[in-house]
Amino acid sequence: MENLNSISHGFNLQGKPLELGPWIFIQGKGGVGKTTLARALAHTLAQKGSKKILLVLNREPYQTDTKHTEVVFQTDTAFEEYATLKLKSKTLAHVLCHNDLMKYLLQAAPGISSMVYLGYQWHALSSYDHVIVDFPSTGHGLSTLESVFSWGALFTSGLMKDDIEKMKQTLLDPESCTHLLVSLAEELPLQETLDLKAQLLKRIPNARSTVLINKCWPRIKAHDVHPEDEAMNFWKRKLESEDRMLAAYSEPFLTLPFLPQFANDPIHLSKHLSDLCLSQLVVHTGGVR
Amino acid sequence: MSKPRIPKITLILGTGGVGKTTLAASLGLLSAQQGQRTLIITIDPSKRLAQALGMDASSHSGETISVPLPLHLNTSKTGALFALIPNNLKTYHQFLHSLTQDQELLERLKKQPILKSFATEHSGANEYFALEVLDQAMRNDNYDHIILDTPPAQHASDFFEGPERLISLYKNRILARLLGKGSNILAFGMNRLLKLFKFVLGDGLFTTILDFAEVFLQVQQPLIQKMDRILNSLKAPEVSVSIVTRPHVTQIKEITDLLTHLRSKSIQVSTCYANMTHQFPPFSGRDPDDEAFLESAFAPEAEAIEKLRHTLHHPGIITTKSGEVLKCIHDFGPMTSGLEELAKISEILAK
Repeated sequence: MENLNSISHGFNLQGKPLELGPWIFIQGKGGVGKTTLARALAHTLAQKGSKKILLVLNREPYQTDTKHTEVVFQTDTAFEEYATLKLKSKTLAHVLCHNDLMKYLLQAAPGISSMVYLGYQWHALSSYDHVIVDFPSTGHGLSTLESVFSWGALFTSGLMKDDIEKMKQTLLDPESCTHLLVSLAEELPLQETLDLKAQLLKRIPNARSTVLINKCWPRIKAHDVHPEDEAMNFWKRKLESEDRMLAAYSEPFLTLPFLPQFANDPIHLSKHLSDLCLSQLVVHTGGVR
Repeated sequence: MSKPRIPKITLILGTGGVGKTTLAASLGLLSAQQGQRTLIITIDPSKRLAQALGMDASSHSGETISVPLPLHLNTSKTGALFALIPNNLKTYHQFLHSLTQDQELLERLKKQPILKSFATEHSGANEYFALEVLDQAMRNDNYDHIILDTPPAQHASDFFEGPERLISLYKNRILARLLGKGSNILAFGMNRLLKLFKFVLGDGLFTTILDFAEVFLQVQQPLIQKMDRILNSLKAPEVSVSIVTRPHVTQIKEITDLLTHLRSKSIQVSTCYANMTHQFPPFSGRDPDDEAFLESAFAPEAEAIEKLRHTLHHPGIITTKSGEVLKCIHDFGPMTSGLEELAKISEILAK
């Protein structure tokens, strides 16, 4: 266990840097740090020369922090914008989207909404260098991706048919999409994340997917821990269990540090995480469609 | 012949990732230890926990199994523990069967992709089907206490709001209009809209929508009646809620929203568990860097716990007992597996 002190956080998988495609999906349970990671990635990509980044968040975030990043939310307007593009008419798109039947359909079949949500981002790939998607919670991301394949099959004709076909190709192309699965250094969340990865690979066999373990505790500075110091002993046990867990899997993980000092300052947390860890990224841009 | 039991119902509510399932299992174990015949209904448990309860999570058979308690854990002799992982598709098919006797219609209902998406994709479907399973278990004369570990959700109050959104969709009259039932003027507008729909969405999806409207309208009435009855059963006096949360300030708004909801529905709160707290006694002589890290990691918890306590002391909240509603559960490190681990938590719960 002596080499454990040499574990460094960062985007380096057993000597191989993580490569990112233009469409980046971030999935994981609530509270594991998906939004922070999404913002940190946007920061890193901007520093690496990405000129236009679309960051798709699922709730109102704190203020935007880089001049290259545009932030949109789980878009109620996605369908209308997409329809305007396809129908080449704002009026027709408005008629199509603002009526009780369409509202009903989108609520009754959330898979169609999911597909349009992705369709909007897919379109954005042609005008942005990177699209980063912060999915709401575990399972949701996968079923959103799934919707293109299940609901897509029902679109046998009509305006959207060709786009759906191309979108499927993009989603199946490992060069275009990167899946970051965020977890914690705790047994249950990690197991769940690995299950999620298995399901993802079942749907998209060659998906470029990586498990990130967030909030890993720092090493203890002191040489010895007093046996009666409960807090320090808790910390020690925590590190031991993290190490044990990371050693138990043959699969390499990326680890990110627990930075509680930034708990109330999300912008600095993202920047700090970006400066600390994300500098080793290899970035691929453009040329998807 | 024993008299029919009216089981006590405990709903375990909280946002995803706070430890609902583990707590539900520990509460179940405690209840069985105290002599009650207890059923835990748990949705989507982790493999490890399922194994601890003697279940195979991958099978999701929807069958209730008996969890054998080691003798030293069951001192009462009358208590017993049962566990159930519902199978959503099975529950959904049972649900459809309860709506119609017509075999041909039933087959069409089962194949309908939009209707199926209600059962598999709609936020609220998981919650609703959990209630269906609970309703079935309540009518089984076998239990003194049923603990429902609610499905993972983004917000704690989704458990109530999800099914309500779902039922309002089912009550919507738009489908009747879609099939041309209604006034001529409406039908004219609808016709033009349908042409646009067909142009954009294509024939395949369009046919599916019409088929959905046609089959659904035939079961709309019994379906709504059934859902209304099931949702109303939550208002019974046997039902109470245990809330699980983490000691984070971000959870305060969640809990406040949930409490408002429970108050409006007159549902009682038994306990709020602040799960995985880290309140350690001070210790002198630590390395200054270590001390600073511990301070930043744990100090916000104390503040969050204080705020939670304050929130829970709101006068409008109906509690099942007087005294402290908030209970802190200390994080005692990583779980391995097995009933013995759960028994450790049960011990804390019993205090």
